[in-house]
Amino acid sequence: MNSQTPLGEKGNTSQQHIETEQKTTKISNQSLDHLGKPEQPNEMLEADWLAMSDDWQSQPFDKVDISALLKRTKKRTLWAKSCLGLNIIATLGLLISFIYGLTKGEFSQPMNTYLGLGGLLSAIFVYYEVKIRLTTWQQCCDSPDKAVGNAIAGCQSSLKYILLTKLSFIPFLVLANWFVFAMTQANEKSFWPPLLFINGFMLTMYVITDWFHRKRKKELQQLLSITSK
Amino acid sequence: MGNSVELALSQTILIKTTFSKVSSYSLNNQKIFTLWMTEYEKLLRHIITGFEAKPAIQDELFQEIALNIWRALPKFRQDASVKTFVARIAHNILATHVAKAVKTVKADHDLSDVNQEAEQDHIQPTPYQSLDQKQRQQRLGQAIRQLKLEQQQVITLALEGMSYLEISEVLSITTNLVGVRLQRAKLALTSLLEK
Repeated sequence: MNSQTPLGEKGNTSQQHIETEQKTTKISNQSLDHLGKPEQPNEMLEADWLAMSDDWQSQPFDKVDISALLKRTKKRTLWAKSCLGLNIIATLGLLISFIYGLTKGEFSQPMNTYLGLGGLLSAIFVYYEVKIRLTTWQQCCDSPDKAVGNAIAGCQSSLKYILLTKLSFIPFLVLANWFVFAMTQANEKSFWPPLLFINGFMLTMYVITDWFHRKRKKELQQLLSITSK
Repeated sequence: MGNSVELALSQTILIKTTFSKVSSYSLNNQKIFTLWMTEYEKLLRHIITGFEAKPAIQDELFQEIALNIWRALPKFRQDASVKTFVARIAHNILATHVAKAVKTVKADHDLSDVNQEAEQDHIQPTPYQSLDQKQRQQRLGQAIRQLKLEQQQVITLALEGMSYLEISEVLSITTNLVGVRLQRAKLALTSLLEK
């Protein structure tokens, strides 16, 4: 196994490595000649490397409070897991309510339709979310060489998820408007305030989703341009 | 009746044992995480400097790396080196960061604004050596951030004193390739520092 130090100044340096070093120094000096600078002796470059290493290792840094970092890290992990858990619970809740409503006949038809379609769409979203999250969590120990590829795959998954969200706005918009209209008619109330609220809310959500869509597209283009170089 | 009491008792014991195992596992992980982060904070901070100039983003990256180390803790094999494991996670995050933020990173790469006056005042053997330590560290960081990603990766690890073998483990490449990339990185770095 090759275990020499990377800078080649100390330890058991192989003959091959010395030759490579010498070639490198020659090339380096040639490039300096080309720039019109005086030729540097090998010792100078070696000294530069040693100085660089010393400078690098003696860089000051602000020490972090490790126990606070641990708390924050645990909180972030818990938050991510809770969000996913809550989504799964909400989807199951919708589907169970739908089945309960159908079998017991407790809810009105608009409510049953809303729960059924809402539960179905929510299940599709949760499937994608679980897939994206699991892939992200599994990739943290991969080789750094795969990092860009993983980031591209992650970006593409996110884009699919966002596109699905955007497309789902159409059926959701129809469904929500119909649900609000049917419920207000049944309760003999004015439908304008809830309709305005629900449409305003969905429009805001769409604008936010679109902003994320543009951001992710830009990121993907950036990542693809790197791999194509 | 007696059987059902025994069953309930054994179930309670099982639940308690499982809970205690889970909490002791969690406590162990917390201890390991604290130990690792204390020991390798400096290494991580230095590596991050080689990829990102802005302190606020450096902090975000540090947090992101810490989060990924925490998540990856259960995957750690005892036969592996902690240093390479931690560095590997850091490089994974940083490679993605650089790939996503090429434009912003390149915008920070103008070396010309780094203490030009100090450089002009001295006509020493190399401009790098003529600067004081803080200026040299600043200039070195900026030059490294200007290198290609693969060169940034090897040079940051090499400057931390890692061996070819350790670098190859972190980056999952052969030691020969480490040598090749490092030579090119050194040349590119020297050339940038000479400018």
